[in-house]
Amino acid sequence: MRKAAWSLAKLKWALLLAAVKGSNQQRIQIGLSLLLSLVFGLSAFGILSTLGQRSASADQILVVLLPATVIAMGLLSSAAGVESTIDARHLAAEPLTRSQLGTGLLVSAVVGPPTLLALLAGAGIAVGWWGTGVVGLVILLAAIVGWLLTLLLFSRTMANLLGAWSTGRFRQVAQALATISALLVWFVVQVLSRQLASWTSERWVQLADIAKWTPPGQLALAGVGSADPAQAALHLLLGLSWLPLLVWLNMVSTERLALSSPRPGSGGRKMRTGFQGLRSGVYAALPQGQVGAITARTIRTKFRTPRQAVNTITALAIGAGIFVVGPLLDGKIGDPRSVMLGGLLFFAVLFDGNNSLGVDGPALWMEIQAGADARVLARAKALSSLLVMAVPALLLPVGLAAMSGGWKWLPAAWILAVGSLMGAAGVSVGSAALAPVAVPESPNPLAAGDTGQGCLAGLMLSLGLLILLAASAPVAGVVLYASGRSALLTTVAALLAPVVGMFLLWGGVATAVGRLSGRESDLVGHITPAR
Amino acid sequence: MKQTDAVNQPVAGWPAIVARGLRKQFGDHVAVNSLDMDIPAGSFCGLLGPNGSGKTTTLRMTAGLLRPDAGQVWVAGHETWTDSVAVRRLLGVVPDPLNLFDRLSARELLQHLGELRGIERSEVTRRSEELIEVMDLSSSADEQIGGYSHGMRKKTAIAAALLHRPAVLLLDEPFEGVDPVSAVAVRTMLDRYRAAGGTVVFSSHAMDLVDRMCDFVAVMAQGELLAVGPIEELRGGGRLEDAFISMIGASPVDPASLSWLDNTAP
Repeated sequence: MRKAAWSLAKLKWALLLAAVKGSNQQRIQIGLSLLLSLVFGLSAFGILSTLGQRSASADQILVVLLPATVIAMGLLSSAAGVESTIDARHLAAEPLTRSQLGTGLLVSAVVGPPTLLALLAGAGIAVGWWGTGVVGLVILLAAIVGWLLTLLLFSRTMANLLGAWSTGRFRQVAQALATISALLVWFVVQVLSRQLASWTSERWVQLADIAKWTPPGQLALAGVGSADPAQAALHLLLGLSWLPLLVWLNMVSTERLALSSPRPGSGGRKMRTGFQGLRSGVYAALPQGQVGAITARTIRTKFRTPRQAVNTITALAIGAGIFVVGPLLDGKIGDPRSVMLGGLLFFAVLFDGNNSLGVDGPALWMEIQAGADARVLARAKALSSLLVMAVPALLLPVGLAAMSGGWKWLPAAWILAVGSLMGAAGVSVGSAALAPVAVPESPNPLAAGDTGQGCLAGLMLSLGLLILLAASAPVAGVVLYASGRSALLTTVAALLAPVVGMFLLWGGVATAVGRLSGRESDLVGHITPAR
Repeated sequence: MKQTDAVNQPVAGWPAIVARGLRKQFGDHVAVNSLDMDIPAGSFCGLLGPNGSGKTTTLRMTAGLLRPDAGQVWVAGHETWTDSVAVRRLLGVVPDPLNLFDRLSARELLQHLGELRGIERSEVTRRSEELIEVMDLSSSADEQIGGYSHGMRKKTAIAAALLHRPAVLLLDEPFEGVDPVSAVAVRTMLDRYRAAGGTVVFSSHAMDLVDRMCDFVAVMAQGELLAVGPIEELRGGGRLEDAFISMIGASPVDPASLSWLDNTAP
C-alpha cells in the first residue's frame, strides 16, 4: 500500500512540475493557485490565531467551525470536485487493490497548493487555542490532524460519489446534487455575511451545543479541553472514531469512480435528441448563417452538458440573488425602486459566459474547419449569452414589481436589464478570448481541476466584474438621482445603460476578434487538454 | 454567402497538396523536418510511416490545425495560413484524435456543420440522411455522439468530412476501429469520390489497404519524407510492405531480447 501511495504521490508531483515547466498559461495557473493558497492560508492563520486568543466565545466558535468547514468542503467538492490531476478512471486497469487505489489517490490529493492553505489554517488553530501544558498541546495537535484528515476524506468521498453517479443511472441525481451544493454554499455565505457579526455569545453557545454531537465537534472539544486531559482524550477518540468508516467509504467510492465510464453519454441510458417541439422553434428563430448556427449549437450543448447546465443555473441563481435575495433577506423589498435591480444580471452573464471557448473543448476545431473565424465565434458567444439570460432578465423585474407594487419602474428596469446584458456579454466574450482555459468535458458539473484552472477563471471573472462595475457606476449614479425625481425621468436616464452596454459589447467582441483573428488554430491548441 | 459546390474548385494546374520546407518541433523533438511534398490532384494517396514518424503532425499542419514552425503548405493552390478560409472550404478533415461535439447527435452535428458551410438546409438534410444511411448510423443518429463506440465516432467524422463535397480529403487513420462492413462502404464512397475528381490523402499502417486503394504513396520516418511517388514506382515490382520496411530500415527483434516473455510465471 505504501508503494502505491508513494508512486501516485510522485506522479502527482511530476504532473505539477510538468505544468510549471509547461505553457505560460499552465505556469500562471499554478502560480495563482500557490499564491491564493498562501494568501488565504495566511489570512486563515491570522484570523484563527487572533480569534482563538481574544474572542470570549473562542471555544464555542471552534466547536462550530470544525464541523462547518467539513460540511462546506464536502459541498464544495460535490460542486467542483472530481476532476483532479490524476483521474481515478485512468488507473482502473492497474493491478491495485481497493485500498491501494484509495490510499494512493488520497495521498496524491495531498500533494498540491491547497495543502498549504489547510496547514496554515491548522497552524492558526494551534496558535489560537493552545492553552497550557504539553499534553494539552499534543491533544490539540492530534485533534487538528484528525480534522484535516476528516476534511480530506469527506471532501474526496463526496467528489468520488458525485463523479461515479454522474456517468451512471443516477446522473440526473448527481447533477441536481451538485447544483444544490453550489447554491447551498452561496446561500449560507449570503446569510452568514449578513448575520455573523451580530451573533452573540449565547448564539454561539446554542450552535456549539448542536455541533458538539458531530465527530469534528468532538475533535474541537478535545482541542479546547486541555484542563482535563482525560476528558479531552475521550473527546479525541470519539472525534476520530468515524475515520475508519470514512476511510472505507472513500475506498469504495474511489473504486466506483475508477470503474465508472470515462466518457460522457456512455455507460448509461442513452438520451434521445431531436428537432421537435418548442426547442426547434427557438433555434429556428435564430439568424441564419454561421453566427446563428454556432449560437444554436452553444445553447444546445450548454444545456446538455451537466457542467455547463449547472453553471448556467448557478450563474442565474447567484446573479439574480445578488440583487434579489439580498434585499429579501434584509427586508428591503418594500422599496418599489428595487424593481430596477431585478434585471441587472451582470454577474450571471459573466459567470455563465466565463471561459465560454474553453468549455467548448477541442471539438471547436470542427467549427473553425467549417469556416467559423474569430468574428463569428465572438459574435456567437456573445449572442448565446444574451439569449440565455434575456428571459430571466426581463422576467425578474416583473416578479419584483409584483412583490413591491413598483410597476411604474418596470420600463426603466427593462432598459437597464438590456444594457447590463449587453455590457456583461461583451466583457464576458472578451475575457473568454483573452484566457481560454482547457476544460475537458467532464460528467462532473463545475469540475475545474486542481491545477489552478479555477483560479485563473476566477481571476478573469473578478476582472470582468470590476470593468463592469466601473463602467456602470456613472449610469447607476444618474439613474439613482433621477429615481428621486420621477419614474419617467428615470426611464429616460436608464437609456444610458444600453449605450454603455453597446459600447462594452462592441469592445468585448473587438477584443476577442483582435486576439483570435488568424489564430483560430492556436485557440484549438489552447483549449485542448494536455492530460 | 451561400456556398455551392462550385466554390470548392481547386486552382487550375496546382497539385492537391504542395508542401515546402515544412517543419514542426515540440520541445527538443523534431516531429517534421523540412518536408517537401507534392501530391497530385485526383490521386488516392497513402501516407505511410511507423508510429511517431510525423504523419499526424503533417496532416494537421496541412489542414491548418497546427501552425508550422517553418515552411508553407498549399491546398489546391491556396496557402493554408494566408488563405485559410479558402483552404477550409476545400478540405474535409478527419483528425486523430477524434474530437467531436459529444453532446450533439450525428444528425445534429451534420446539420450544424452544413449550415456553417453555407449549404442550403434542405440539401444538408438530404446529404446527411444519405451519409447516415451509408455509414449504418441510422439507428443511433438521434443519440448523443458521446455514447457512440469508437467506430461509430469515426464514421460520423468521415460523414462530416464528406458532407460539403470537399476537393481534398485528409483522413488520419480513417479505417481504424471501423467494422469491416462499414469499411467497405467507406472505401466505396471514397473510390466514387476520387473517380469524380476528388483527392484523398490518408495515413495508415495497413499495408494491404494502402496497396489496394492507393495510386500514390508518401513514406515518412522520424519526421523526414523518405519517398513520395506513384505506388508502382515505390513497390519496384515487389510487395509494398517489403519496400516500406527496407525504406525505413526496420530491424527485426533480436531473439536474445525479451527472453522473459518465454516464461509463463509473472
